[in-house]
Amino acid sequence: MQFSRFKIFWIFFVCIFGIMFALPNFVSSNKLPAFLNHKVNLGLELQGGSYLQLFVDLESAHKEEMQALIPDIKKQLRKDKITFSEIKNVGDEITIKTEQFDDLKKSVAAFNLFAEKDKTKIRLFQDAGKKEERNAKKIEQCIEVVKRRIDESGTKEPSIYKQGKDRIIVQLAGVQDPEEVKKLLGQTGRLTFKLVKEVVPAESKHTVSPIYDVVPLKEDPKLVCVLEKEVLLTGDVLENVKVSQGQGLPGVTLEMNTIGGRKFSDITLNNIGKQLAIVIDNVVVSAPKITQHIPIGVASISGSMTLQDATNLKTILSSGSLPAPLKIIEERTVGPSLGTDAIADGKNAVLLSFAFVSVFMFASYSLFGLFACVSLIFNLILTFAALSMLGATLTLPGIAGLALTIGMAVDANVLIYERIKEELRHGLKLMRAIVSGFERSMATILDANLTTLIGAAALFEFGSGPVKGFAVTLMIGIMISMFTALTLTYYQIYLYTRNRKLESLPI
Amino acid sequence: MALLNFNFDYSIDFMRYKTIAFVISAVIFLGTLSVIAIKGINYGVDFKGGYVLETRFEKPPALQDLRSRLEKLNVGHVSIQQVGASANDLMIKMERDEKAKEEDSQQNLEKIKATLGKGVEYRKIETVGPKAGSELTKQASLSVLFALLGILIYVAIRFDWQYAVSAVMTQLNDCVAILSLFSVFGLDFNESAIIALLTTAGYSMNDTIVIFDRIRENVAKKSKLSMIEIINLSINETLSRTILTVVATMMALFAMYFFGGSVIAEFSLPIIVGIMVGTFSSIFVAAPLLLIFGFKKSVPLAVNSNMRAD
Repeated sequence: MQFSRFKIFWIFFVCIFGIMFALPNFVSSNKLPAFLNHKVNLGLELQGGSYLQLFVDLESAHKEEMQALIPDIKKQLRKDKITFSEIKNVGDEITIKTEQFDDLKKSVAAFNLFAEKDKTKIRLFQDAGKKEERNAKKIEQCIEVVKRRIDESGTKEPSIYKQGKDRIIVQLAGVQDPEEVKKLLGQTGRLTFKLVKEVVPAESKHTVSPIYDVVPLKEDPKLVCVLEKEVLLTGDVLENVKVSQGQGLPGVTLEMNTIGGRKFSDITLNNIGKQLAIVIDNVVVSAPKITQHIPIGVASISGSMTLQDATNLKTILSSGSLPAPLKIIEERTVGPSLGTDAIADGKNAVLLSFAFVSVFMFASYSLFGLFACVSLIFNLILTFAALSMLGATLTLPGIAGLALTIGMAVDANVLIYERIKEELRHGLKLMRAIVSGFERSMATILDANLTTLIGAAALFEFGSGPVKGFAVTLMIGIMISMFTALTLTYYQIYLYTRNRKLESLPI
Repeated sequence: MALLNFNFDYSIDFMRYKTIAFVISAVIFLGTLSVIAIKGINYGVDFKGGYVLETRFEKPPALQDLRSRLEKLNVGHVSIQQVGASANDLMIKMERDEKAKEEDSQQNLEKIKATLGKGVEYRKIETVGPKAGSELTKQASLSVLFALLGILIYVAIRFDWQYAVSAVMTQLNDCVAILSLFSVFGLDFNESAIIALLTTAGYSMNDTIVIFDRIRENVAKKSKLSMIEIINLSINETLSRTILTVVATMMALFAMYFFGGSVIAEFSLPIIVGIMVGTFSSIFVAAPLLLIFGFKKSVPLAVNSNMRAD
């Protein structure tokens, strides 16, 4: 049994390196140099936090987009002198009736629309091939807006990413209450200014002519606003949004850019005496009467809102509108108290399992059992070091992977020791038995570990979420256990046996 | 010397029990499959979709009243369980109605919260859409399939095809046996159940390979023995290791089960059962399967470089 200087150097190097990188997980970080501040992130179920799965309602976004095109199409068709009737929005298409199909085709090309003759009417639709592309872009934009909103709400380090075709995942670690964040995501924040024709009781909304829009009024659910269809201004012109506290009432002040200010000036000049509705997500939040010409582009919304509401509204408006509505379809929130309990329980579980295994190993193999335990400790330390360096997240499935690794590491040492005993029974001399025990179990351990490693690699490659988390710790753990269970244990036995004349092995 | 000694010279005739062991395995296997076919698996909220709220009340609420008020919301089937020792801590689960729309989940959650009233601390809230679970199962099954395929190829190369097929079939047997927990015994099948399955499969595979490895070695060494004798000998030779490893692992798992808190406990129970099944099957299913697939000693082996004849 020989260990070269080179090999001994490597053993110490790996162990010390491992301890260094695992340390930040156990010692508070301000005592350590900066390059060592990588820690294993704990999964949300362990540290508390929220996981939100948002469904991006692309379909309704398309529908709205098409709906919004109709006025412009009408204008264009009139300009091109095409007579038409029954233009309306059906799903993500527009249908229209006209005799001048060829003219229509040319005319709508300006809107990137294609025309196709149906039995009685003509269908206008967008290029289906580009739909995916447009959807992907919408989701990108949604993610941007979601990021801005969450950042502005003061939540630290959110993790936001796309999943599948129409989902966005938002993970908020350590958030006490996701309600505020949920409120921020629940609104698209589409702002428009429209003129009010009249305010009528909600019951009589069916009698309103279809040339007007009927929109509920935020302050009084019993009333609805009848609005002109024409959009005078949109949220695009906003330059700055501030929370205001005029007369002690919380509100929001909208400051427009130069173009917006000029338009706003014109609107107020031409419509004195009328009510101007500020519409957000199809609800009239405010409908002040224009009493005078306002030459600067500043409008305000106030009344019936708390300071928190005002702050939320500010965040939503200043982060830009979402290109598609988001719906929270899945939420997992672990409150801070459960998170704290889970960490404490988890530590207990790991320490106690370790203690139990150690006692058992000592009872079964005395000193050699303790060597195995030292290797096991290093297995844990090195795994934590590796996870820290990779910036991996330790989740519950990850802990299971770790447990399996420890089981297999124990098994490796058991295999070796049983083999040594067997060799002793076959009459081999002590040192020969040790060497032969290690050599012969090597093939078994390699095959068993490689088989598991192959399985884990497949799970990592093709699995998702929890399965991946399990596979990562399992792969790392197995590779490390080959070092700890084989090399490190062997080295300890080497140190113990090299200068002693032994009668029997402490096994 | 060590305090415990498992080193008896075992010479148990395991293969004598192979028929009865096969019958037991087959009964469990087919029984579970038929129960799954009839009764289905008790999918938890993770898969069906629904709501899970772990709540801490200021004082123990009247359960009957709470349940009936929640039922009246018509959100879905209600189940209420106490968590831990305190009657203030409840786990409220509501399965999603199949007709319910995904988009309404937030409103429903608000309704549930309103019904529970003020002064409740929410330790955990989960609302799960029905799609999330089925996507997870699909992904997990697919990845397991690839994992088994990889293992099949590796074992076939390192050992022989009979070993590979036997090992993979044993895994399937174990997985089905654990599924019985979620069908026959009605445990919630959720995300952690999938992970428990994988953990068990990993452990059982390790166990199987260790025994196969010894069989491979003995086949090369002991040419005079029959295959049945070789299998018996190999199992006996590795028996002390099998016992030691399984006891050590069990100790760790029991510590997790009893002291790890509800989340880890829920998670370790199927693993405990699975490892028992896995240990049993490595001896009584995997090894005899070799015989059934007609493994003969005369089949040339990929001889291991570390193996030297005595």
